[in-house]
Order: sequence, then structure tokens, then C-alpha cells
Amino acid sequence: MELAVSELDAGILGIDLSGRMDIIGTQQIDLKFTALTSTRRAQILVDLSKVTFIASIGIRTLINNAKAQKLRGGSMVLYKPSSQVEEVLRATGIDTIIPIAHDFDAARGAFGSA
Amino acid sequence: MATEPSSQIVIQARLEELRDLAHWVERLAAEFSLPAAVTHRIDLCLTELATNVISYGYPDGRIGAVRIRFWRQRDQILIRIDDDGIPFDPTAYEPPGLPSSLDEAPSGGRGIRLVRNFSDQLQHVAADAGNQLTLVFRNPGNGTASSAPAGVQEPASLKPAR
Repeated sequence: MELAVSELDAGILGIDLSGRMDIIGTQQIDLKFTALTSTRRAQILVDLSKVTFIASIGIRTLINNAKAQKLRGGSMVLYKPSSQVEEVLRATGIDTIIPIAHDFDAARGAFGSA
Repeated sequence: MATEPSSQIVIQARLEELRDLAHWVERLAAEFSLPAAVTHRIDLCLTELATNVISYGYPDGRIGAVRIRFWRQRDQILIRIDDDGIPFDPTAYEPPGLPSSLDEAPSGGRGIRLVRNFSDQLQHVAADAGNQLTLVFRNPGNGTASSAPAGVQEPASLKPAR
């Protein structure tokens, strides 16, 4: 997997993930993802549009870091997952505890309500 | 009746080999014209189950072997996974419930839930040395059919996946 960082409008930190988020892929980005999402307060938009596959180990990383960010007073929004990735997120109820947005306005709104 | 699988792969129980498994599923999809949604369900279930076996099936550090066989039938796909690891019955495992809040969400425990959600049936048999899991995926679309393996001619008798 690969990870890229960008500063978005309204002070939102964008993290673009790409690749296959199985145990191998997740191990490739986990340390950097955790450092970015858990060490300071932020509004974090995790762009999943280029994630081709997600397994339970990938969900674990999203959950652990969303929790850590919440403890710091910030929040995380999952952005533009593919239909297959979103199906996996919904099957495990993740959509009810970490907002999923498909456009930037909806993401900004989700940060406001998170 | 022919019981030879349509395809099979044997991997060593090492995480690096998960990608070989994923590539095998890609080749199955092409060879048997599987719809993308069915391919994804198979990919997800095999990834979760193989990851479990590799991560927890060999606590003594031994590198075991995992054989996965695939039967393409007219209205369903059967997949059988044989490992030589410690006994584990995923049909008897109770995964944690869906989280009501981020604070209460457990870190892990979602793999078996996903396998139950994304397969149509799941059966476990304790083998002499290891485990045998059979997965059923229904309505896979048109394609070349083969006969069922011995012991799974009546998939309705399998324990329903939850």
C-alpha cells in the first residue's frame, strides 16, 4: 500500500491510501498512518477511493486511529470508498461510528457533527 | 461422478503467500467468468480465513500447508480449505456484536463476521490433523460447471452462515 498526505481546505488533513488493505498492505502503512492520525488533534479525511480491497485488519487500523484521534478532540471521516470497500465497512457497522462521505461538502458537514 | 476440483492451490502458512492466494482468485475470476461481486466475496472470505490460519493456526512456529480447492458448479461455487494447524471452528465462534459507538468498538474480531456475511454457507469439519472448511457461494452467474466434491453434494445440509 501507499500513503500520501495533503493539507485540504478548512484545515483538514487529507490522507490518501491506495492499494490492497489486507494484512500485508496494512503493515506497510500502519506506522505512518498512526503517526499522522494519532499524535495531534486534527480533522482527518481518509481518502479510500484508491483502496481496492479492505479486510478486517484494515478496519482495525481505521478504528484504532479514529478512537485515538477522538481522544485528542479531533475526528476522522472516511472518503469515497468503492462500493465493495463500503460494503465491507457497512457489514461491520463501521459506517455508524466513523462517518463516510462521498463529496467534500458532506465530509465538512460530517466533521462539524462528529 | 467426477470430484476433481476445477482449480486448486497450496500455499505455505506464511503471510507473504496471501498475495499468491489473491492472484489465484483473480485467475479464477478470469477463467470462470465470475462476476466482480462474487469474486470480491471469495477474495474476502479466503483472505480472512487464510490470515486466521497463518496468524493463529501454528503457535509452535511450524510453517504449515494450506490447500484450497475450488469447484465451479452451475448455480454455486464450492471452496474447500484444508489446513494442518490447531483445531478452530469458525462456525462455533461468536463474533462481537456491531458497535454502538466508536468508544465501545472493539479493536478486532471482525474477520469471522465478514466470512459469515459474505458467504452463503460455511461448514467446519475437524480433520485428523487440522481443519477442513467448506464455503458455498450461490448464484455465481453463467460458466463452466463441474461436479461437487464427495461429501458436499447436498449443500443445503451445511450449517447456514450467519
